[in-house]
This record gives sequence, structure tokens and C-alpha cells, in this order.
Amino acid sequence: MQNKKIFLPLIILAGLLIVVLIMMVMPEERFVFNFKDNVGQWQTSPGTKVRADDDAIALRRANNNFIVVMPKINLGAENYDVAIIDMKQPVAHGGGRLFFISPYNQRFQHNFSLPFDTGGADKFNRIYIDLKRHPAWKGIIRALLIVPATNSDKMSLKSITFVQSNPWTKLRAWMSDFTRHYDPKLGTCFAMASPIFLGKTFNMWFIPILWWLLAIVLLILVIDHFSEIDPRIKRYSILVFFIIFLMLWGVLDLRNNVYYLKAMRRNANLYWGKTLWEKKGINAGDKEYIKFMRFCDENIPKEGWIYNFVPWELPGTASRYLSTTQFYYNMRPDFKRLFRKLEMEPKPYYVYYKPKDKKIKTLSQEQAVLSTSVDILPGEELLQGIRLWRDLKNLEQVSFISKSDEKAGVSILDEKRDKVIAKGKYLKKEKDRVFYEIVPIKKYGRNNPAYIRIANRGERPIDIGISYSTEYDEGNSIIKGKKDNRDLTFRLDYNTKGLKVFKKYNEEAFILTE
Amino acid sequence: MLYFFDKGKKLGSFENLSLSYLIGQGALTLILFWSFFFPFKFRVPSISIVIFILFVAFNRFSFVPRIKTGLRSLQTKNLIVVMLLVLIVFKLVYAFVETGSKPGYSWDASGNWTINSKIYYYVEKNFNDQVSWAITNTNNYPKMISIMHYWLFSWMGEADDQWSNIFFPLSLLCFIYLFYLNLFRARRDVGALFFTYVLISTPFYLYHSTIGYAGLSMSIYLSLGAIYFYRWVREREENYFWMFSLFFAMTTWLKLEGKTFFVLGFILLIYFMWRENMPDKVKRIIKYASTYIVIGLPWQILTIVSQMPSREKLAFHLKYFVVMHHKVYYLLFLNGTWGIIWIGIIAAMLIFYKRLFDKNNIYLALSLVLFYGIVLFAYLMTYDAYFYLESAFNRTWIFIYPLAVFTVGCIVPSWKELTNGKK
Repeated sequence: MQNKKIFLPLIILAGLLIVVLIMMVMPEERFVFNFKDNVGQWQTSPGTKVRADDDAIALRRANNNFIVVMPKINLGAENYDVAIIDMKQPVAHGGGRLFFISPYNQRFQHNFSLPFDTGGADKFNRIYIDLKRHPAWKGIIRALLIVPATNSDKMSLKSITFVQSNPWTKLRAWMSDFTRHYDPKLGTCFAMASPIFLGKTFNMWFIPILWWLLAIVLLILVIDHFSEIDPRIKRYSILVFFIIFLMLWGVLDLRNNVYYLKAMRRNANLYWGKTLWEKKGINAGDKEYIKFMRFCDENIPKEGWIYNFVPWELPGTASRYLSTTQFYYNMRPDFKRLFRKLEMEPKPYYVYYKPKDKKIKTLSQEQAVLSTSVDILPGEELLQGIRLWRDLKNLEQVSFISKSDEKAGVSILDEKRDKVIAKGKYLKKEKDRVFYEIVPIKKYGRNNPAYIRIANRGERPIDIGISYSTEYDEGNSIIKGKKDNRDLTFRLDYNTKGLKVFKKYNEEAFILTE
Repeated sequence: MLYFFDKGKKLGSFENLSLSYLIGQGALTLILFWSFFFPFKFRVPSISIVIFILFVAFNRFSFVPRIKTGLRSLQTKNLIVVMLLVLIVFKLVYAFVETGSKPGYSWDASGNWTINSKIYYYVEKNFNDQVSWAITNTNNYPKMISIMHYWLFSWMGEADDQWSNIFFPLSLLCFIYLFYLNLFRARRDVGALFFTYVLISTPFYLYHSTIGYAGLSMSIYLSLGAIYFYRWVREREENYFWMFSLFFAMTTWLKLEGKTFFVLGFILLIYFMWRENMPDKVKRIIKYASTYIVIGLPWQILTIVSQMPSREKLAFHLKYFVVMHHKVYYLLFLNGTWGIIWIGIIAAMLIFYKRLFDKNNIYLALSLVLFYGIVLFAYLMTYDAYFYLESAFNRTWIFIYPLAVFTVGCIVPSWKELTNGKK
């Protein structure tokens, strides 16, 4: 009896081993695209430095665009269900992507791509990608594009192999998907995706099964309540449910533990040994930006009145709403309200970074958050409190979000809202943003409170974009005659006349002052 | 504080330590809050010295602690126990490594919590007589988290908003121990360790100990409030009543929702006193209310007197009732955030419903029902909360998640009972 107890696990283990060996030796078809041997059949992004390195190519990033394209691969999707990339990167467990062009798309697009985990750092990893997981992997695949992890400044590529896989290779691709590490993005604090299991999300596989099992168990309990059945039926049905539940839970937790191991490896690789500012630069996706913020903090006097003209749409940043890209969350806070309370008039400093127009013809002040819209009916108006960041004479235009074609009456009012200090003249509409040129009537200084007035003098409602965010603190809004907690989504554009450079970090980053 | 509340010296050393950390966090931030109204130099070192003197004067710790951990009763030779401990420790290590590696990158952590801390820190540094202005000129959120960051900035000598997040995984560590200890007292078997492991296994929950959001802290204080209420009901020791009251009161110092959770605790108390026909009901209510008067009410009054902008007002969106429940189902079961835990929780409550409504567990069940009522109220009857169906709604369930796991831990029988049918 004891011998049976010893032999049984051994037999099961041996059986599993045999099955795995059979899976491994089953035939499969492979098409290997070796990068070093196929020069001319692939391209990199402009400026990328390329050199041959043993049996691989070594690439070094030049700018934010770091890709490798195989523009005429012409692969039959039905013949290959797994891709294996042989790649080396200096950062562990980064998130790369494989883009493809199939009969369903004409250009490389995010939703026609497959993510992958780049594996351990500074060594060649064989990265398995389950191609069939994507529903558009069909027909002739005309072109492929590999994007390495965004934190990597260099990578080495040996080959990409397309495989008509045997069960073992397929299993490896599935495991790769299941345990894929990905950096949490901004939205992760709201929700986390279910891991991919055999081509579908884990929850979509098993939640319906668990609900059915639970329903059966509950049915048994109900039957037992009304007419007693064999208690073993009740007990075993409950046991079966919980055993299955615990098995699934165990598989999921095992996967989570692998994810945590990878995360710790990545953290050690990416962040350890770096200063806080270097880490912030990595996180913001723009190391130069963080260095520049530091430069501003060190050079602008502590009583400086800082106007932040860092554009929302920075390259490499996570989201236009992410506070970490903005000055006040990275360095010193905004003390404008304190200065007003103390009746101080510090010198203004305008912080500018990577302006789209390098000649800086305008400085933009905005409340950019857009949550919803409000309909302003004929005869009604919306007033938004503002503080001018420059003298009124320098204000050139105001814009806000509206889908209506109806023209509004736009003007700027003084603090008491009884005098018009500037009139607005309709200029243009670009997408949903409506622009009005501002013609000052009276003199009005910087930092003084004022109001943007948008009045509906027409016959049809005008919808105007507004925000629920409580971030904006330079004035209140009055919508349809009532004070409102919401704020207008707007932008004020000033000219740069009279401004001079206070300090320059580089050609794209500087501090201006009056 | 525990010296006064635990007159009978019922708390073990590690329980004392864990409770001290969590309650101390609340108390320390309250002291600092009040101190902001008096501009004086060397605020943090001065307060630290006073606290140290009080600690020495009322010290309950010897250097050879009485180890009443509950862990001694575990048979560590048991492979399952070792595995569970290893898994729990591994996950805690991950939380610490993640927090210690990455700077903050999430919206609320930057925009709601650490920005206020930086304001206090920089104002104190550069405009010391304006510190009281700083308190009333930030958002109307209660200040425990922000002031905790400020405290750590002051000790670090810079506004390092990465390392100041370390108090979150520390809070989690203390909570995990208290969760296990209290569940062990209810179950007296290795199931307590198993459910502790289940608690910490949900990635969404563990992740929230690394990103500087207040959700994890709120879940800790709310759950401990209910857990110590449960322990008071079972053991009738006065110190547990105070733990229950303090933790519920501290939820009001943590987030705006805390007020509704304090009312939840009040309903539990009223129901318990009515059910047990307790004497001195009014005295008991006054004791409970006094914790809010000391902890949460001053901030509430300050926000009203300072006319701080607030979105706390009624607005009915009852038509979203079905949409909301659709969202509940999707978020809790389908989209993967919570793994498969909620179906396990629901299954356990349905299958072992008789145990759920027994003499003591009824209060846990009531807490869960009341929480659900609060969620309905917040998302269907207040100003703009229903807009957060796409963002904050999922995180709302973090608050009640530990208590739900604790409840399941109290009602699910042991493995032996499940397999043999005998206790």
C-alpha cells in the first residue's frame, strides 16, 4: 500500500513529462526572418543608429520614435499562429508592441497590435506572441512594425520567427500572455484588466462557469431545505464548487506572483540607484522636462509669480490630465492665492517648454478640462471668472468648446461684471473650438479679476463645454444667472510683446519675464 | 492613547504596536492640524519631543515583548501554513519594493493629497506665519493623508513625494496582522491565515497600497472599526468599544465619505444596544459621538466657517439605478479588476447564509448591507458622484472589501468540517 502511495505521484509525473516531450517534438513549420541577413528588407525610424553585432543588429534611439518596420513581409496569417522575437533590451520587463497590417487595416494602428513583455534585462530573450489572439490576424499580413519598450534607449534584435506551432510552442505563447508584465498606467487605479488565458480574458472564461456551478449548488440547497436529501450530496456539491474556485484562484494567484516578481525586477532595473528627479523623468516619459522643472525651481525666486505655459500635449507623457507633467505637482506649489492675500505683486515668470511654435508668438492660459457641456438658450449667458496673466492689451483671443454653429456674443467684463472692458469678434472655428478675437476697450492690468461673458443673442441654443474639475481656482462661473461649481473650458491667448528671456535652459525650454 | 483605553492590558504587544501605528497616525495628524493655527518654528521636532516624552511616561513595552501574536498557535511544521506565510510576506515585500521604487504618477495622489502636503511644507518653510492660511486654502478633503505626507517631508528635509508614500504599505502591514489576529480569535484555526492570504491576494487591493490613494487607508479604518465592533460584541471588553469608535471616527478625518461611515457605526451601535437591551444607552452614544466631536467635527466646522468649495449636496439621479448595477456587475465580476474573489464572497454568503445571520455575525452582515446603502445614496442621490461611475466607482468597493473577506472568514467552516460534516 505504501509503495502504491510513492509510485502514484511518480507515475503521474512521468506521464506529464512524456506528454510534454511528445508536444515538444511534434512537427511545426517555421519562417525565420533574421535581421542581420535581411538588410534592406527592414527599416528603422529616422536617426536611429544601427550597427551589426555578432548575429544581431544593435539599435540606439535617436528620438521619441524608436521602431523597426518590415514593410513588405507578405505573410500568410493562416500559416502562422505564433511569433517568436529574439530581442535584448537594457530594461527588464518593458512593454513592447507588434503592429501589423492585415486586410482589415491600411496603416499601423494601436488596435491592430499585440503587446509583449520584453523579458529580463541585458540578455537575449525569446518572446512568444500568440498571433491568433488578435481577430484581425487573417489573410495576407503585408507589413509588421516592432516597438520596443518606451523606456529603452537601445535594443538588439536577432530575428523574428513565425511558427505554425506545435502544442508546446502554443502553450509557451499562452503562458507568455498570461504572465505578461505591463507597467500600470494612469487608469489602473480605476480598473485592472483580467490576464489573457488561452486567447481570452481569464474572467470571461471562468466567471460564467462559476455562476453555473453556484446555481447548481444553490438548487441543491433549496431542494434540501424542502425535502431532505442525502447530506453527502449537499456537502460534496459545496466542496466541488469551492475546490474548483480555489483551483482557479490558485492559478490566478500564481500568475499574480509571477507578475510581482517581474515588477520587482523591473523596478530594480529602472529605478534603483537613481535620484528622485531622475525617477520622475522616467515616469513622466520626458527626462528633459523634469530637469527643466528643476532648473525653473532653482532659478525662479521664491516670491516669483509663476505662469505655467507647459503645453498639455507633451511628447511621451501619459495623459493630458496627469498632474505629474505639470510644474506645481513636481516642484513648488502655486502660491498665487497667498500672494493675493498678502497683497504682494511679485514679478511674473512665464515658464515655457517645447513650444509647438518655436518663435513663441502666443502664450496660452487655459482651463483645459472638458467634462460635459451645457446648453445656453437664447437670452441666457455664461460668465467665467478669470485672472489675467498679462495686461488686457496683450490678450489677443479667447476660445471655448462648442459644437453649435450659432455665433455667441463674447466679451470681457471687469471684476464687478458691470463694465465691458473688451469686446470679442468671431474669428474661426477649428473642430469644436471656437475662436474670438479680443479688442480691448479699457486698460486693465495683469492679475486683475475679470469675467469672460458668452451670451446667446441668437435663436437657437448654444452648447458650451464645461468642466467638473475643482482644479481651476482663478474664478467662479455663473451659468444662466446662478453661481455654479463647474467651470468653462476655455483658453486665452496672449501675445509676447514686452517679454524678455529671464533664463534659458535650451532652445526649447526657457523662462520669460516682463 | 492605548494606555488609557486598554486598562485591562488585554492587548498583546504586536497588536498594541499595530493599533498604535494606525491610531497614532490619526492622532499625530490631528495634533499637527491644530498646531498649524499657531505659527512657531521647529514645529515637527517640538511635537516629536512631546510625543516621545508621553511615550516614555506611559510606555507599555518592555524590550522583551510578550508575544501574543496568535502565530505561536500555528503549527509551523505544517506545509500549508509555511506556504501561506511565505506568500503573504512575498506580497508585502512587493508592496514595499513598489512604493520604494517609483515616484507618484497617479492623479489623486498628486492632485488631491501630496499637493496639499507640499503647500503646508513650502508655506511653513517660506512664509511661516501663513501656515493657517494653507490649511483653509486647499481643498475641503479631510487632512490625515496630506498631513502625514507633510510630517514625512519635514523629517526628510525635502518634499520627497515618493518616499513619503511609505506609510501606506506600513499601514497595510499593521492591518494584515490585526485582520489575522481578530479572525483567528473568531475561528481558532489555520483558516484565519488562509483568509488573510486571500485578502492580500487581490492585485487591485495590493496595488492601492503603492500608489498614494486614500482608498486603502479608508478600507483599513472602516474595516477595523467594524472588526473591533464585532470583537466588542463577542468579548464585551470596553477597550474594543473604544477601538471601534476611534476607527470609525478616524474615517471622518480621512475622506469626505467618512461621515457616512461614522453613521454606519452609529447604526450598528444602536441596533446592538436595542437587541441586547443594554443599559446606559445614552451614555454609550455620547461616548461614541465624542470620538467624532474630537476627531472629525473640527474639520467639518472649519470647512463651513471658511466657506471652502464643496460638492457635497443632494442631487437625484435615480434613473441611473439600473446602469449603476450593471456597472457593479461588470466591475466586480467581469472586467478582471477583482479577479474572481467577489463570486467567492457571494457564494460563501449564500451557501452559509445561516451562519451569516447568527447572533454575532449579523453585525458583519448589517455592515455590508449598510455600506451598499451608502453606495446607492452617494451615487444616486448626491451632486455629481454618478459621473464617477467610470472612475471612482470601482475604487469605492475597496473600502468594504476587507470586511467582506473577514465576514466570509467568520462564516465559512473549517476544511475538516466541510469534508466530514462534523465540527
